[in-house]
Amino acid sequence: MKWKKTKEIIIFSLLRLSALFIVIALGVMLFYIFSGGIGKISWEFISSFPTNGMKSGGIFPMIVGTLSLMILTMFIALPIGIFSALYLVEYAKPGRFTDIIRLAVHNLAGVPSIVYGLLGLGLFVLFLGFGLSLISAAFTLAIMVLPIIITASQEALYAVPKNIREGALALGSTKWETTRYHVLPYALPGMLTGSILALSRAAGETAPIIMTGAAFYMTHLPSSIFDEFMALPYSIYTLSTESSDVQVIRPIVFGAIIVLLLIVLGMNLIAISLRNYYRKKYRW
Amino acid sequence: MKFNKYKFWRYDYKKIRKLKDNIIRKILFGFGLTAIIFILLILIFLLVEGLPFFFEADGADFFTDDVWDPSSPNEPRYGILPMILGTFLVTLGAIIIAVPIGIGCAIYLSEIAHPKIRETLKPIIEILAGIPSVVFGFFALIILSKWIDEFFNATTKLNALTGSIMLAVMMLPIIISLSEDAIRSVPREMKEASLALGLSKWDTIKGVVLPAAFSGITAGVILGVARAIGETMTVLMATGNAPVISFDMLTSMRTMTATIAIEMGEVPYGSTHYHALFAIGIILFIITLFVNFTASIIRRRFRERY
Amino acid sequence: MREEIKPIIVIILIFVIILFFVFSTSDKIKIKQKGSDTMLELAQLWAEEYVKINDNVTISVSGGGSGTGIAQLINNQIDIADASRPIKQNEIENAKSKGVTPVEFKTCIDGIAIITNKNLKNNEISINDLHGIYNGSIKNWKKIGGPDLKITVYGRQSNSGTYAFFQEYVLKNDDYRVDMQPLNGNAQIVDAVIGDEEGIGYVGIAYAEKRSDELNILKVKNNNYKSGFLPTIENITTGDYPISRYLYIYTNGIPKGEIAEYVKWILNKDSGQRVAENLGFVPLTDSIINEEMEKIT
Repeated sequence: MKWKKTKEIIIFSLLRLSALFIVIALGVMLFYIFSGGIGKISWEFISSFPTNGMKSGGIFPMIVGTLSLMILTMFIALPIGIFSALYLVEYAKPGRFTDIIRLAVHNLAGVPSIVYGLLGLGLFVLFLGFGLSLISAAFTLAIMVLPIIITASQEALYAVPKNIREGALALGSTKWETTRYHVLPYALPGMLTGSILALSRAAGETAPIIMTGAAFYMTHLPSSIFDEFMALPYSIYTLSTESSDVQVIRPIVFGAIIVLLLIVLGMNLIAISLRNYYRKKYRW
Repeated sequence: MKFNKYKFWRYDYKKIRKLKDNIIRKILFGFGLTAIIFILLILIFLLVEGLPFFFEADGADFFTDDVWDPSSPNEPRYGILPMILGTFLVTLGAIIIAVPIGIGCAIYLSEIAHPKIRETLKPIIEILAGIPSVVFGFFALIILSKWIDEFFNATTKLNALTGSIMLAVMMLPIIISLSEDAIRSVPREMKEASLALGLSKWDTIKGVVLPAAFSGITAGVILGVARAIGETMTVLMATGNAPVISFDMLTSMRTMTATIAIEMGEVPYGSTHYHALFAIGIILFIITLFVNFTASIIRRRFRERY
Repeated sequence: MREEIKPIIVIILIFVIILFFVFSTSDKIKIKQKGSDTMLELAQLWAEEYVKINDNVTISVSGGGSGTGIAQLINNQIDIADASRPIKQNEIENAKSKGVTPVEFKTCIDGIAIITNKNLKNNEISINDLHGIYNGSIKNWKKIGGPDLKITVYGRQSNSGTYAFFQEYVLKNDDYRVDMQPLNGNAQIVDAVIGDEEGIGYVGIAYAEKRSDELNILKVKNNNYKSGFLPTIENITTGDYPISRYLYIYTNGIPKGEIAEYVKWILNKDSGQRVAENLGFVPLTDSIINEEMEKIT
């Protein structure tokens, strides 16, 4: 009998260890990143161009590039994602066809990021002739994060109780009117959360933008959406593998990583807080 | 005559509303199709640019040749075996590390942990899930590889093991959150009945909860695997990228994803090499399709039980 | 409902305004420059320095490999292709078929340094031995007078001009050994060799010079020479150091306007050449500079 208790203690300790592993993994990574780069973070770093062969100066154009990319991606993916989810939840008839759509969404989520790069290259850069540009990269990223927005929006829509829709319909609204005025307002916050999470994903991706427009160095900011751009993830990649003066460049890379993490994790934080806030507000 | 208040005004609002509703319905249907359109686009482009490879070079060699050297001036070889092996070994290593830790952590979180600990741990896992892959790649390149070099005294510090470890850390959040969901959705009554019958906590977990959550856990693992197979940046920076056939985890290997990323830049559009890379893309697509499909079948089939 | 929408609309408006500010440099001429990773830092520095004296242009620089640059020049997507190897015949034909005429300009000379770990006693190697090591016939250091250790061979990936140049010049178009570690860039090879006692690698001298105190830079002996030479500027210029090559840029047709000005600046002894020299490359001799300048008229 005692052995059983001991066995349980051992096993539970092992389980605790596995949780500890994760905390340690994250802690170690963040520690090295912050200690390596915190020295670099300053207002000049964020607001100036790289200078002297990218060995000094700042990462301003990369930040602008990443932010611009995020905004463009949002403008493309948000409407498509929200309306697709709207269709799937409110209008789609259960059946074979709808199943196929759901299957497609799942599969889009599973496609490797480099394959999206291939699609972006073949479709937007070459076939449609957008060339290496912000718009090519934005479209590529938009398709990539679409499943995230669709799934999150679906959840938000499902969370609205059926009675609201039924009540509105019973009082004579058309389907669109109930959706627009009675369902959507309550689902919008949840959709927003999902979109922000999708955006943070887009901000951090490298593989899709390598082949669709990211540049190593530009003397100025992009002049239009058809121009190339610099972006944080791509610069992190190239600076860590290309430059000759590793000692000098490395702190810059760490700094860039910190900024990228702040953007990405910051957005995640906003999304989660929004989710919690609205969850408390709308207790059905 | 019944008083139709809508016909009282200038326009027949009822018709307008209905018309609007119909139009919107059609528009939304169009939006619903976008997911299908995009997935088809990916498939089409991969096929259009990838299939020509099998006509230009020896298609069978693609799968049987064990050398990948497409830019050799003498005899270009397009065998993907080294990369399939590379992807396989790196993923396998990641699975071996991530699955026990992930499921263990999920069990801990849902059954054993104090609620306060749970509150702190969950955000940590979400943070881990949000970190971009290039950051993991950089960490592996700069720091993890040095540790592996010191610890194992490997010939090269950028090898399959480095890649596996980093991939495992990336897989963990997916495995943990899905497994945890699955475990939490096991009805309380089952657990309470088991405990009431005298089984210890661990026996309950082992014999009642885990089997019941099996499908969800498996789905989580499979999705994590799909993520690992498709990961590009981390393996690109961590594994050394030598297209060799080797079973030694401490040697440098190359994955399919890294091959595309590395070589896509150099190829003249339309060359055999270019088509070969798209052909690799097709293979990747099929593999991830298959893995995701398996996951959804498992999820669906076992969800009905409870 | 309106209450929740308001902050969202405000945020969106802010974003749009940011975007608008970003895109306000569109009155300048754009020069797109891509290609060799060996030349990446050089190209970046050229761009950075050039716009200081000429702010009518904006230049974008990317890597990807010599092959990439040339391929994109052929596809008429960029203005200047950086290449650490000369353009190949089939690339020229490909270009012609697409209506593009590549014009070559030498920009500077790059030596390829052969580096090994600091602890290795060997300080000289012959071209033949180098050939043997890189095609796999020599597997152990002891075969060339070193310790009894397996050689770990580092190199570049196939999209690199350095890879192609080394293959043509040292390997005489032989195949690389299958277990060569194909690393991403010069810096990585330097890193790898510093950490590996049995390692050997080839890098542009600029990269080796930067960390020369952590490395062992081998003297290289050409086949009919009695002894080897270090990759210094003189040895490369006189040709005593055998492994050196020109770094090129290619334009589509004879450059005109702003592109021509930029190319002239690159070729100029006091501007572009000085930048190259500071980075560790060997500047062109005056006669070659004149030769190249002739092409722009």
